[in-house]
Amino acid sequence: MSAPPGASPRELSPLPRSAVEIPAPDVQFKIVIGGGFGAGKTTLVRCLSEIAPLSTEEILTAEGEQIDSLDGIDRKTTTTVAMDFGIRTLTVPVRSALHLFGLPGQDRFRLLWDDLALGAVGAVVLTDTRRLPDCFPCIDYFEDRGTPFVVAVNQFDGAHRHSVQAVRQALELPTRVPVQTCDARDFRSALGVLRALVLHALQELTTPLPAGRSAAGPDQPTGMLP
Amino acid sequence: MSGEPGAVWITQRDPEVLRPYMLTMGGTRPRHPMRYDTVLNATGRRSGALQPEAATTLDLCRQRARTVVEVAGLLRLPVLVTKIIASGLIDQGVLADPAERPPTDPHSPHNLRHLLDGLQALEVS
Ligand SMILES: Nc1nc2c(ncn2[C@@H]2O[C@H](COP(=O)(O)OP(=O)(O)OP(=O)(O)O)[C@@H](O)[C@H]2O)c(=O)[nH]1
Ligand SMILES: [Mg+2]
Repeated sequence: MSAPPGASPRELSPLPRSAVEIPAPDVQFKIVIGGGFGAGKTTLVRCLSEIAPLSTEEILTAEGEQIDSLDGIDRKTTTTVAMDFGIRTLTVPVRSALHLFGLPGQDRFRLLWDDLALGAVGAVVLTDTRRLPDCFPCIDYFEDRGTPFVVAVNQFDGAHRHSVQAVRQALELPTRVPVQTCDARDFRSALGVLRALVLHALQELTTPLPAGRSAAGPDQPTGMLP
Repeated sequence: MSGEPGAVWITQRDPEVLRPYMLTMGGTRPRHPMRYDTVLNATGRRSGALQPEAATTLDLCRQRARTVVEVAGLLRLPVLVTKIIASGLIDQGVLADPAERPPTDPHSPHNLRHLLDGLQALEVS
């Protein structure tokens, strides 16, 4: 489901012209949500977001590259991808905004992942124990980038309940990477996953990593890019 | 592939490819670099006459600051087209130039502790 083609923005309800301006908080965080098909990415983003669910389309080249000019649009070579995003405003200790982005499931959208993951605090990798290998591309990706991540084991109805330890072994995760069960539909459970991630990201900053990997390597803030 | 919103799907809708050109008044590239999560803040300055999509973008950002993806989702426009429209509004001075706003360092322990405290406060609320 997406916006009906050709839907006019003029169909949006009119906005009051004299609306009060609420400026953006100075502090902005981002967490990205990855995982295989149907692992619960959309559910998790929506569960945590305070804004109504919206699906945004991006036009990409057939190679999955973002285009930076409408001149690049050729209907034979472009595809569109729908993206999940959400926002949660935090008020303690200062007003800040947490942006949540779901990564499109297929790893052929890696270039888009790069763009979404740049400057992120870390990532949540959702797993479905019925299809555990589906999350491998995502785990490899964050490991390679040096992005701190946690693995959230979704408890799908009818799925065999695997122990967290069994999932850790099957995914060959180092002990530093947190693995915890979660219900992506439950706010507190989803929040628990985010807290585990941020705690982990903090620990990664203070704990030396294995040679050849740097927590702040490619993820160094580089300012705004096109 | 599922039919869920947010699922990855691919379409080829010929007329849609042409529509963005009209919305951006022939602009094909945002002059101001923007990302998906770039925040668009209204400056409070008065605008001149605007195309409907640009007027709606400005109204949305006057209500409260919005990200590029959020505006794109609300306007049902591709992200690139939204960036071109927002870029025009920055040029007019009615949206703040995001480049003047320093990004939050995601690798600062101080910032991460703030985030942790904020999430904790949500849990008890
Ligand atoms: N029992 C249970 N069901 C869940 C959970 N998370 C998601 N679901 C269900 O699983 C289905 C797929 O979830 P989505 O959130 O659409 O998964 P997704 O990762 O966005 O899927 P794609 O975008 O198609 O890759 C939906 O019907 C959800 O309601 C969970 O934690 N527990
Ligand atoms: Mg989805």
